[in-house]
Amino acid sequence: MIFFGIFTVFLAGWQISRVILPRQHTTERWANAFLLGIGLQSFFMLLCSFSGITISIAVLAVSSLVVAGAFYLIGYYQKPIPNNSLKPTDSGSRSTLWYFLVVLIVVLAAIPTAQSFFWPTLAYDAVAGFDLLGKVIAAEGTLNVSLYELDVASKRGVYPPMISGGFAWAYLWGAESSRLVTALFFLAFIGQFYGMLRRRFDRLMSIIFTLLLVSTPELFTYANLSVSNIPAAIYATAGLIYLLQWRSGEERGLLWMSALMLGLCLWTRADSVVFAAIAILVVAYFLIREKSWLTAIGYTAIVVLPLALWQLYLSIEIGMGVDRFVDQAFWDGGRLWLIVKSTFLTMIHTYGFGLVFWLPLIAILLLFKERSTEQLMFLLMTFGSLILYMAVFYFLDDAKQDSINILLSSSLRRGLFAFVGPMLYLVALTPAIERAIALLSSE
Amino acid sequence: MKQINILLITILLLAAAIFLVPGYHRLAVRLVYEPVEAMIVLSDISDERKHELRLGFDYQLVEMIRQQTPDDAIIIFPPDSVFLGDQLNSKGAWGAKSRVWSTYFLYPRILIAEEDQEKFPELYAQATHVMVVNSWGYHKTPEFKGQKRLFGVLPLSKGDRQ
Repeated sequence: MIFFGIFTVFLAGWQISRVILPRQHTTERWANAFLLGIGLQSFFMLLCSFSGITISIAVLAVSSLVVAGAFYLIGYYQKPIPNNSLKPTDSGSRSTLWYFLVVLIVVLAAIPTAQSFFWPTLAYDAVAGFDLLGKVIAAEGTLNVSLYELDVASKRGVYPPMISGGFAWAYLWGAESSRLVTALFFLAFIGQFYGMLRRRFDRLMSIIFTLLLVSTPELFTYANLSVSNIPAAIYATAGLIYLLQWRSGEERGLLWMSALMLGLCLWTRADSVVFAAIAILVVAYFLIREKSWLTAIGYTAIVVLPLALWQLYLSIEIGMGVDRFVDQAFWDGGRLWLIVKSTFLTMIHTYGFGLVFWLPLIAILLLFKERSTEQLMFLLMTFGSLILYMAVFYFLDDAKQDSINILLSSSLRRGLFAFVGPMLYLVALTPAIERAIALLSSE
Repeated sequence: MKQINILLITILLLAAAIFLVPGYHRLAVRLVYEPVEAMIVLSDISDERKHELRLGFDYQLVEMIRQQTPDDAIIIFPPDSVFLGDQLNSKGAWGAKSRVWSTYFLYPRILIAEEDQEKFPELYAQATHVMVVNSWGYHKTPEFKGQKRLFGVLPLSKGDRQ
């Protein structure tokens, strides 16, 4: 039965993705089909819970098929989009090195996937959070589960229902464990990142940077854990990269794909608002200058609406609020220094992130030598998000959660997953690096 | 020939990264080699045994409670202070001491915290069992005559609840 469930997720996601962004790399298309499809399932769950309909596989399947059918019809009557691909016309042949790196990535991807199927759910955040909620949502047929009333929903109960809903989807379709969803998320991360790189770079360049992503040690550690950090990183990475590609290539579908990805990013973790805020600023800057008010409003609405609906449901139906921040602005130089220091030390610590956060230094140095507007813009977007990310920690109220020292030693590191992809893309945009790798792929 | 040379150089670079950069060494040994070896060695064991291996006595305790109580049981959960001793996990938030963590394995059974007696008086009054941790819990069943154990679960009679 789970196979039919997977089919409905991919079918709905595939049709939406096809209409929004007709030209995609094969791996990107499959990845986006899952990423959009699974997000849709948890969104249906919210709509069901809001309207008093019991969440069931029948409701999910019918809703998915209706959405898939609707988007199929839209796609059928859609005008063909002119080809203004960013990709270089010579995308490089499939060299021996390319095949070797593909094999390496497949092996690396297979390990967390196998672990996801081999080990039961063990991570604390899943057992005392997302997977518990998923099981109970599936059993009780609503997002407003009895755990809230009994005060055992844990702090993960206030998180948007992307992960718990995704796990509930697996249980509803008869899976014994929700680990399938975790495995699919990691595979989608790889497929989507490679596809996004291929939209802009040649084969070898794309596979090298995909390998750097997959081999990031800390990220790899979490690849088989049923927690929300990897999915949030996937959506944030895609949201920022699609937005940049829209500015560089002018294909409107990329803008809408960026909006959907960032909407799902907030639908996964509310603290991902740092990426959404930067993206909305960028969109507002360009579109308001072009007097495309409606598009700017539409983009913002898609990004913000899912989380806003969840917050509404949380306060009206469940009777809970999210209150983690201080009530008023304050200045504490020591706290700020502690956060900045911890962030950068965590980033450059090679035991956690390998060389991933060292590479942007090369990119920044080379940027002085050879200007690239595209790279400069992405540098501002990525570092702007990082500054906002640190600001989130600064304004957290210690009285309302674990102390800042505990958060900096645990949450901070996991939150940095979302910067791995954008930082690697930033490095890939360095013209000198692109030229050097092009030399490797030439015969 | 050029491609083969590039491939060899790449392999050398990857090997250098594994030996020189602590993170990539960790990736190769702790995150790739060891997990694969563990999965091969443990390939025949059951899910229950996997839980026991990773979660230890905390899992055995909640699993024992699961086996000895019906699905609709309402179980009084001991206060944090009694979850002491070498057998139980004392590091980190996870383990049987966490009511949320225990609920994951015991759902649909309801765990009502001893401290929540005043918060949920009706539910507390309907409790059908009490979880025994370090012999805490026997005071809820004054008429218990059997051998007292450190850990377990006891059924509550109507009289016990009053």
